[in-house]
Amino acid sequence: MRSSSLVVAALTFCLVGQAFAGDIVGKITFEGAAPKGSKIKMNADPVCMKAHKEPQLSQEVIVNKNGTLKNVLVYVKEGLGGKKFDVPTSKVEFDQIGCMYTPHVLGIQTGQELLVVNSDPTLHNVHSLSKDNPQFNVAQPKKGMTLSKKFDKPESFKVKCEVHTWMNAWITVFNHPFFAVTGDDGSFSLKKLPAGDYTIEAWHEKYGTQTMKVKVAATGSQTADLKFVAK
Amino acid sequence: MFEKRSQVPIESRNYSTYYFVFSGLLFLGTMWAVVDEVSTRRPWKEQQKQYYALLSSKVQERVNQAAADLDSSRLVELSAQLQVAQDSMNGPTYSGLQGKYNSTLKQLIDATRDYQFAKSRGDEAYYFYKKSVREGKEDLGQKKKLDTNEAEMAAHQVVMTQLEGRRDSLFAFLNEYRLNVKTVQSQIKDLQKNTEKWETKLKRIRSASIEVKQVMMLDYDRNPFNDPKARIDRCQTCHLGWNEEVMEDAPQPYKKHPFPELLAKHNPEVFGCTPCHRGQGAALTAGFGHGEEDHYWENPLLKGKDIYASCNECHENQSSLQYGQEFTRAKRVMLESGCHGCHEIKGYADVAKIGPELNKLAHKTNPQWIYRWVKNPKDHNPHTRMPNFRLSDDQAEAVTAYLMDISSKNEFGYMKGAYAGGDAKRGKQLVEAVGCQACHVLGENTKVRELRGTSYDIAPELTRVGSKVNPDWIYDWIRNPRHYNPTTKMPNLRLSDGEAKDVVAYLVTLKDERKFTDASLNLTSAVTIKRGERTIREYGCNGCHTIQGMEKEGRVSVSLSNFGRKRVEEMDFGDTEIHHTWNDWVSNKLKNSRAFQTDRIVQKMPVFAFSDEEIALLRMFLLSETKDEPDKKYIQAFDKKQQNIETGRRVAISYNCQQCHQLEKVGGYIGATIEEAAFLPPIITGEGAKVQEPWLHEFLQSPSTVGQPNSIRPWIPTRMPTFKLTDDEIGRLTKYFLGMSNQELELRDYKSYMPDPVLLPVGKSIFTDFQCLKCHPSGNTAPKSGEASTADLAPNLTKARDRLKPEWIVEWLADPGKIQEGTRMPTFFPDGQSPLPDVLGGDARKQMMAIRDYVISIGQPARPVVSSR
Repeated sequence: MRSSSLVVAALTFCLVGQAFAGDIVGKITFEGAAPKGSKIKMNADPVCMKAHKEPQLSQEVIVNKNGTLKNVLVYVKEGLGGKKFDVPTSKVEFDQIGCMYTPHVLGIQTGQELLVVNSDPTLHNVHSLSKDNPQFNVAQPKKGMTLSKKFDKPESFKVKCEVHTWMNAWITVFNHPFFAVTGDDGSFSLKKLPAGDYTIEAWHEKYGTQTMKVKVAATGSQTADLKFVAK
Repeated sequence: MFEKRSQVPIESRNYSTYYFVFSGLLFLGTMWAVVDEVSTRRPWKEQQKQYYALLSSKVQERVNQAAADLDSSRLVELSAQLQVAQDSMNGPTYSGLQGKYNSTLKQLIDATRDYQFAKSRGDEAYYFYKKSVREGKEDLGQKKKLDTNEAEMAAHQVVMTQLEGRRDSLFAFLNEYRLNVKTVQSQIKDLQKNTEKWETKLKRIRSASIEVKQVMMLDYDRNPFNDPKARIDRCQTCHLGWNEEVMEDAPQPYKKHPFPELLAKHNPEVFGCTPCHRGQGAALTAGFGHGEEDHYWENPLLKGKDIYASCNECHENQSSLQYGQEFTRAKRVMLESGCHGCHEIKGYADVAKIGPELNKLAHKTNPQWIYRWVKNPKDHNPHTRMPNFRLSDDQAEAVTAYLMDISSKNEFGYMKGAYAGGDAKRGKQLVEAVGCQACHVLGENTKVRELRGTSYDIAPELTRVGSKVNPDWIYDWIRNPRHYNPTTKMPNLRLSDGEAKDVVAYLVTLKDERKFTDASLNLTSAVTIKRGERTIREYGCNGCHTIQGMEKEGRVSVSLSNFGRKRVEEMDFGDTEIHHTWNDWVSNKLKNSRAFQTDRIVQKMPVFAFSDEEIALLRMFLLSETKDEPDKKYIQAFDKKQQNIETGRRVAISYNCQQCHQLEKVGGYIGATIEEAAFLPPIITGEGAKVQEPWLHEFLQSPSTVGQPNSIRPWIPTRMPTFKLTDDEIGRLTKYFLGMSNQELELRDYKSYMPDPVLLPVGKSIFTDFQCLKCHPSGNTAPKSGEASTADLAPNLTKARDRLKPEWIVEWLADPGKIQEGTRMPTFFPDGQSPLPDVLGGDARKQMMAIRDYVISIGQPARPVVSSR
């Protein structure tokens, strides 16, 4: 009798423990006239020219068809305290394809592996302009070459290619797993956040940051829509 | 019986009460003395107890952390393995083997003994047999005995070999069991290494004794009779945690020292703390040790950035200190402000005057301008280094008269009117492009001054230059500055005639917009001229300027050699209310050198316009000026290499190399005016390891290559000017660069270096594979529009053979970021690994050598290759 009640109690605890986590979902809207993206001149490298039929536009500001903003990094800024999180075993892939970085904005956890791939038959180099983590500047002269990197300290930095100066991307290192980058529909979701009060922040390379306070309940999801205004 | 105590006979009086009371007092007094001596007067004991308590709690955290980090499942696994291994040693198989081994060993001993006996018998028989043979009566009986025993020995030998074999194989079996246990044990130990380390530390801390920690530096100081005397340093009695990694965030006095790299060279176990921090080393309380409670202690603790003042005790010859950048800056401000012109400063007696020669002044400017300038230089150029002497109108007139008198008598042959015909617009572009702004501020563009962070410029601001000097002079000056002033630091920018005309056309437009009414000056009166000469001598103008007639004059002011030890009682505060401290006197004097002037005491030191930061730096410098010098054995010898570095460094400082180049992590100020990062002048700290000495010599002598079509980056508009350096100066610079790269000047025949015939073609193919030409242009023509911008181009490699050291190219290829932080050149060999496993066996080093051998052959006429070198 007594042991069975213990088992029930343990089970309940487990279930509740799991359920003590909610999600934050939302979208990043954009107000105002979208700036005209500048065309990238790839004349310096014939390989890059050949990779595209149409001239590519700068990835700095991309406004989606539904009026949302692409490439916005959304993350929990405050509220996690000093909690530690497991390092995911999955890799984050960072591709150089058609002389462009894909993705243009990415988030990664400390200790997680970043896999830099060159999918172009031309010379690329990845030069990290990091400050807290050691800088690296590695050439990948051949198609299919890869490079693995891990970062110990949380920070945000730019990555550029010295051969093709139009190529740049942003990497942000977090010490927690609650971050997301908006895609073609401008939506994001931060999953399985322990119940509590949080400040989330959205960062865009041109429009800076927007913050919002969100209360996450034990179950269900909270909506948090943020807005950037054209400058 | 007796009424009063005095009536009692003296021998019958009772003193026990007195005894009791006084012995009680004595006892209490003794107790108090003991308590006071052991505890009250030794607060450090309590501090040490607190320290050890804090340390052990922090180490305990580490122990717990180590225990938590320990892979417990692995430990369980290993313990199980150990149990199995130990159990197997107790099992029947092991004991069976052990029994066999023991009996084999016993049999072997028996066999060996039998063999030894047979051998002894044989030896005996051999002796008698030999003896009988020598005596001529051969004893065949002994011979037989000998043979028998030898046969017996052989038989035993066979048995022994068999037994030995069995013993060894049994031992190997047994040993495997033991090894199993040992391996697992050592694995466990490895796993627990970290925990054990911290536990051992914890044990040591718990058994640490409370005691005075003292460093004794024999012969460190000198007494007033110049006899050596020891310095006692007990700071570490309270500052116990200076070397404890866990005490990084502990409160004072337990905190870890923030600069371990500095302590690596100044070990506190040998040097103590007071040589750098000052204070009273022998004291055991903070108040006395730091000097707050002991007002008569002449060496109070140095606080804040003042700490760097003590560097000078041992490093007075060095104008740049790797770990004392504050002090490096202080010395630089001192040198650039020309303090050494009027004051004697040890180690800087031979430094050149900072102002221009004035002997041909009349040919450069006009008397009205000179008059206004000497009255207040900052009126024309607010950022000039020339201080304000606050001369009266009469004095200024007299000085002008003297300068005009001597300079108009000196001939200066320059062409009149040769400047005409230039285009001011082109001139402006040139001034902005070739590099004038590295030293001269012009109008709104004050970026270089701001980046430099000084209140003064090191060359005249040109914003009003058109109202100062005449166009003939400008033309002559910019074509060849040494013509007018043979000792000027202004280099030659190698302007063509046309370019020079354009620049003159532009500079003459830069007028002083203000209106001045000409002062009525009497410049020809002999009396005025004589008075001018006296004024110049009195105020020491010759401290900064070469002036005819003043050649024999010395420094006008006091020596600063022991200024840091000057006592407040020796300082005159005039009528001011300023607080009577050394610091306040110095700060106020530097802020306004006439601050302490009274109606009786006239002061002549001119008024500077130092920023507060510069005042703090100069104050620190003055604090460092002491005659204190530790005994030779405590000073790192200022060896040949250090001397070479310092000598060359002073050449670099005097020619203002750092205005354009970053050198020893300082400088590169011109960068503030250059938008394109790729066009910045190179960082030259590592030049010694990089370029060939003959190339450097030729380049410094005549740097016409840069900016010209045969340069490595001809598209860069900024020119490396010609400094007309002497061979001596070039030699000093070369040794300086080499010294900083830990190399020595040696004769090397770079021309005999030949590419390896085997590596050369491999190098070429790697060069193609790596697509080096994507950034390094092959020719000297700038790319056409639409192609890559020149800002994205790397140096042309055709010059590599005659410029770069072959071994440097390999180091550069291995890790460019290590040699030049932030360079755009990527590494092709991350972590020393080659991306080409099939080339040269995947040997990264060999591949780098192959690239090097190809690079030095690019664009070069074929040289006969040799098969080996």
